[in-house]
Amino acid sequence: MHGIFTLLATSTHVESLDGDWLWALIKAIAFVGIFLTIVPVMTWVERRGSAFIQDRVGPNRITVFGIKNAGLLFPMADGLKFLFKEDFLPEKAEKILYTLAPMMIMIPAFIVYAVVPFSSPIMHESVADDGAITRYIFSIQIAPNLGVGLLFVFAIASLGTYGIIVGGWSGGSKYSFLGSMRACAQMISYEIPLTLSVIGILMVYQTLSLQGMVAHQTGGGLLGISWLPHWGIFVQPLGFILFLVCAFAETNRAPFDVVESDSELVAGFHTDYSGFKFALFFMAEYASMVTMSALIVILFFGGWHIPIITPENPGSYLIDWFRGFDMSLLWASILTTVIHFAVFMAKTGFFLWLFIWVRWTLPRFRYDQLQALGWKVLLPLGLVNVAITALLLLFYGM
Amino acid sequence: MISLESYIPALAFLAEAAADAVKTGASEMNFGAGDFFFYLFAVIAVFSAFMVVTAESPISSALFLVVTFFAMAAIYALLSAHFLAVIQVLVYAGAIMVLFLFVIMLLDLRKEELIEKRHWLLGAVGFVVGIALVVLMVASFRLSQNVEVAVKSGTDQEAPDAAKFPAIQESADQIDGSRIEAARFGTTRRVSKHLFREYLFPFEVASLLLLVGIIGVVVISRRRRRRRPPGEVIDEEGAS
Repeated sequence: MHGIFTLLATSTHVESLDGDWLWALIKAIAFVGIFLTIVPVMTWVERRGSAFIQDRVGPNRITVFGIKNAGLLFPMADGLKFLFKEDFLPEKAEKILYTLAPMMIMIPAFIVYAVVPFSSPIMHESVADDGAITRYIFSIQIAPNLGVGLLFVFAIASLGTYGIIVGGWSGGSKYSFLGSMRACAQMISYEIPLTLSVIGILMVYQTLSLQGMVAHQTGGGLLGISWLPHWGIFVQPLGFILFLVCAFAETNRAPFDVVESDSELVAGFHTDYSGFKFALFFMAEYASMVTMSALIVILFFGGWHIPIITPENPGSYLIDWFRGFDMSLLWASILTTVIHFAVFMAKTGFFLWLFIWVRWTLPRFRYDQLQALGWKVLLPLGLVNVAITALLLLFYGM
Repeated sequence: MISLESYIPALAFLAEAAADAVKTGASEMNFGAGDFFFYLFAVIAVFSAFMVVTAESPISSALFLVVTFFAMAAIYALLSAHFLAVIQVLVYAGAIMVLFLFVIMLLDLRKEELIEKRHWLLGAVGFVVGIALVVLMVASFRLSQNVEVAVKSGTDQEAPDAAKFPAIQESADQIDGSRIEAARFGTTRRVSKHLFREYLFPFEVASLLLLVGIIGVVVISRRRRRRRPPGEVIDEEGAS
């Protein structure tokens, strides 16, 4: 961000393309497209990854013209299967709510992406005859000017619970109903520690905007160590652990997948669902995994910043380095943006793998154990974290 | 559930007021995107609030209440009270209504059980209170329109009613002079500054009240626990 700040400070005029609703729409469609493509890839990673962890072969049967492709075509086969399967409506189901439930879980999972900064902005400059420099900014974020960023994410993500509750209730089956009852109980026990876990980091960053948080994690030299990046995980280690644990509960992934618990409730809240409605539940789970991974990266792992290469000296920042090769600002910033996006996705990808890794390693918590963990361990730890952070900020001004 | 018939006159009244507002909005004001979204969410809020009262199943009723909260949050956001909007969704739509649904599901209330004879007096009281609310709403709506006219003209001549309310007139002058300020007043920083500096005492009193409520719940649920036969598992500890 340093390089960008210097550029903005030296320009006569700064024009932002972020207020344009047409660009916002294009960005929204592009990002939803990107993340819908991640879902089938994730199902492949999940299957092959679980096979790898459990020392199995995993899906490898589909071959094209005799070429084995490590099961890469299975997601496509899955998609086709979901499309052509019968869309079954159980006899006792409340028809309207039963149809709405998959949408109620899918829409919040994607709305959250509106405030996620995926990369550094693209810039362009034009020099007028009188030497006045006008610079244009184009953020790689759908709604960059929303000051309440993180709160918005939590608010929208909390609405996803309705999809689970209504989906489980409207089918009229006991198994799915039990699943949604557990969803309610689970939600009240982890939502408070989840919110508490980020209060510490909010106090350090002094902002709710996700863009501002990424900017805050620029450069190294934390605690006087020159190579240590200014990342949230080093500032708030306890906050990170709490957030990570709650993220597993928020996404209903193992070890906190009591909502589904295949071995007790068939498939939990979506037992009765079939065809494309089931596919929507399936996709929403992966979409919320991507959201939580991206949030972890933004809050605790420096967003799109590259560690070690991101120096304290603003003059040698990536964008300035590219400009050293006689590149125009537009091309230099596009290259920087692409690299930053790749870095962001790589970090997010690591946490997506972590979700899979944990799922196939740890056994499931019983639902009362999960509630006890939320209320008796995570909540007090969250309060302690807030208190310690407040004291440190007050006396040492981190 | 109050009967549908008693609400029809009230609704008609409201619809007329809304149509009036749209007409004046189209002719006198610049009917921009902001206005469009305001009326869109206002209609959604009123419709879903109506459905909360009339819906047959308690679950749909609760879900319509969620929609109402959401539409109201959208209106808050349009009035540049972003923090309030997000908190509205986070607390009411995201947390409290989930608890409501939890309780409704726990009791497993179905349509049939709710149809019972009510005393006629209850309906009458409901009707009177409903009408009073509508009158209040329309009155405050008319007053706020006067403020807008005053802002537009900048003089008292076109808005004689506003002169009767010096406070409103004063605030109208301020609105005109500080548009940028108005766009910022709802940010988290501003709200928290007000809350923790000027209104610290009321804030603490309110949190104390909530604490009393929490302790009350714990006490009541403990008493019940003793009466239950031993061996019965209770799994919603402190769930409220």
